[in-house]
Amino acid sequence: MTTRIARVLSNVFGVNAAEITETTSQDTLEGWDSLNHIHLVASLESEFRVSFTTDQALAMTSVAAIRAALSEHGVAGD
Amino acid sequence: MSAAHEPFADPLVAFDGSPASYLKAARSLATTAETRKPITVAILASFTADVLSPYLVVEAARRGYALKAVVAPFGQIEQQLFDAASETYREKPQVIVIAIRLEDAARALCDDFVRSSPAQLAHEVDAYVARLRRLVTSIRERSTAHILICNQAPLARLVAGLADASIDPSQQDVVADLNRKIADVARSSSGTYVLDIHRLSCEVGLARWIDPKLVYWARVPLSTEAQIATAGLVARYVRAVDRPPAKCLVLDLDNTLWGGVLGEDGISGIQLGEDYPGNVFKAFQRQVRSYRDRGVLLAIASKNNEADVREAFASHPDLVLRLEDFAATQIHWNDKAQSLANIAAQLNIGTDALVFFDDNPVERAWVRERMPEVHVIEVPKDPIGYGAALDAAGVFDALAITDEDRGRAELYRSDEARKTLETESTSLEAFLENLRMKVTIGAFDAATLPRITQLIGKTNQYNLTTRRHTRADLEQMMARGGIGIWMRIEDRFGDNGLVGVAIAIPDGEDYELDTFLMSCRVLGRMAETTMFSSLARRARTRGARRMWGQYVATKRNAPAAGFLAKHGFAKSESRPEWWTCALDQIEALPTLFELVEQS
Repeated sequence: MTTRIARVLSNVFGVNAAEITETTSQDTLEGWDSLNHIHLVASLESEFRVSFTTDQALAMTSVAAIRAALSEHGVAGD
Repeated sequence: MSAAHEPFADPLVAFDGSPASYLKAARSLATTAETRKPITVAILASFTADVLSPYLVVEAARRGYALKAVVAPFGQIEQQLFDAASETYREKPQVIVIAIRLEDAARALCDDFVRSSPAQLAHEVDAYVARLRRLVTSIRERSTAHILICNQAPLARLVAGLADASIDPSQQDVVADLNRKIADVARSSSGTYVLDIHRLSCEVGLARWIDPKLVYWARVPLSTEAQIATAGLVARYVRAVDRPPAKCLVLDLDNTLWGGVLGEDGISGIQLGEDYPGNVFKAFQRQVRSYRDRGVLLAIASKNNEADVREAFASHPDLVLRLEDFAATQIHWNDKAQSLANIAAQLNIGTDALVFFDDNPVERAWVRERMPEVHVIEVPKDPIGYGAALDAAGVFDALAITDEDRGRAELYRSDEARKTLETESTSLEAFLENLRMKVTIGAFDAATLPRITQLIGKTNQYNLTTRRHTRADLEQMMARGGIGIWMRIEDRFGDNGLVGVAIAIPDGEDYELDTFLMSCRVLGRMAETTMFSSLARRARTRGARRMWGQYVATKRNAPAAGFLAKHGFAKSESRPEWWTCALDQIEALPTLFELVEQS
């Protein structure tokens, strides 16, 4: 994927953006642990200039869920 | 493989300051060959501090360090620090950071403030401080690492709200009192400093310091912005504990210390005064003078007619800085890189101890190219930003200011007078006699150790071994039978202060010369011979027959190369690289000066 979401995930987890798909999630991506999840939320907030609620931050465990949380802020992740 | 693994690309090149770019840079720093200086930092916190690691790695790399962060699990501070076999000590950190948040350790000072009695409040403060003391003592028994103790950020919420500032004691007073006591703990232990989180949180802004969701969900009481700022502050301290601060600030004149061009606008035409834009330059001069007050030498490198500049300094009423405030001046039309080299030579310091501040980007680029070791400040276009740019560079960061620092500029001024005398005297002996020197030598003690540690940390040229001992190292060496002496020199031009240090440590029945150094200010006066004689006699008094010594060559210490041969040492046949001398051969002292020996 060449979306901004994929670029953020690539930077946070150190994987190639091309390997990231809509179904990439905490279960499929090695290194997506609780510590890196904090870094992921920080990186997404900075990239998209939004501030997630705690429940949104905790629910963002896949690319699809990230997209959903962003859309609640009226932001597209592309 | 991602692009982050390209060989030779410096991971900091594409760095843009966003959290994602920190994480990416931290990962590639971990996988690329590292030319930066390795340093291990242990962090012990009452909260989850692991999140700081990637930010710390990158902020340290930006200052030239390959940092390894060893973060203890939250709330494991005593378990780690009271156990000599813990992971913290096994990693042999050079720096240990302790962060105990008020909310995790002293609730009476937080939301329970109004319901707590004054006795309870005092008890909580005392308990916090006593805990810190135990932790610091425990580290000192097991490690010589530098210790950084975090003080407290202002409270996010005041129980009494608006009324807090009017009640006695206010909640804020109690926290301020705690911070003072935290500083007392740091001052009473060697190599221990306050990590000023209080100040940092004010700089970032209290409203932005905490991200509540991180507090509740992740036990991280710092917003992402605060995490990055904290990592930057730790890295600044790391640099300051590891590296001696720069020594000399070299300034341009036109459009730097005043607005306009003296040669074109004339003395009455330059911008310097009480109104805009002259007040901007006047304020910058005050700031520069404050650097001089704390021990930074000032110098001028300006392309100007020297006579014009002298006249300006003599007659312009709004110049805060006087020509006498500058330890060296290079005012002519020649190359500025050469001017910097001349300044370093005149002050007897390395060019890597120079900081260059010039509004002209062409001069900056030229100096950067010709002298990459000089720290060139990136000067903003608007003069209002000059002062902030100078402060933010952090190149003069020192963790303590000694009495010697306060008086340094005066010392260098009388040094100038000394040099004039040197050219007047016909022989070296006559010159030295004329100086009427008084040399005082004594053993290390609590009063002299701060200055001794500082000299050991920054003396590069006349330094036999260049071993950078911490104060804790020195205390250990003395406890194990080492002999440590200092030397002060006064002369007719003034007091040079404490300028020499020598240490011998026992080696069986003999002694080894661990450290022998002198400030360059007093080279060429045979003072080194006096200091060595004193050390040798002290070793002999303790029954030693021989002294062993080594010259450890560095890029900078050529002046000390001949020391051993000149003082009766001969190359050892049994120990390669070592020299040895019989202590009964030590000659009588030179009589060029008055010698006072303290025990």
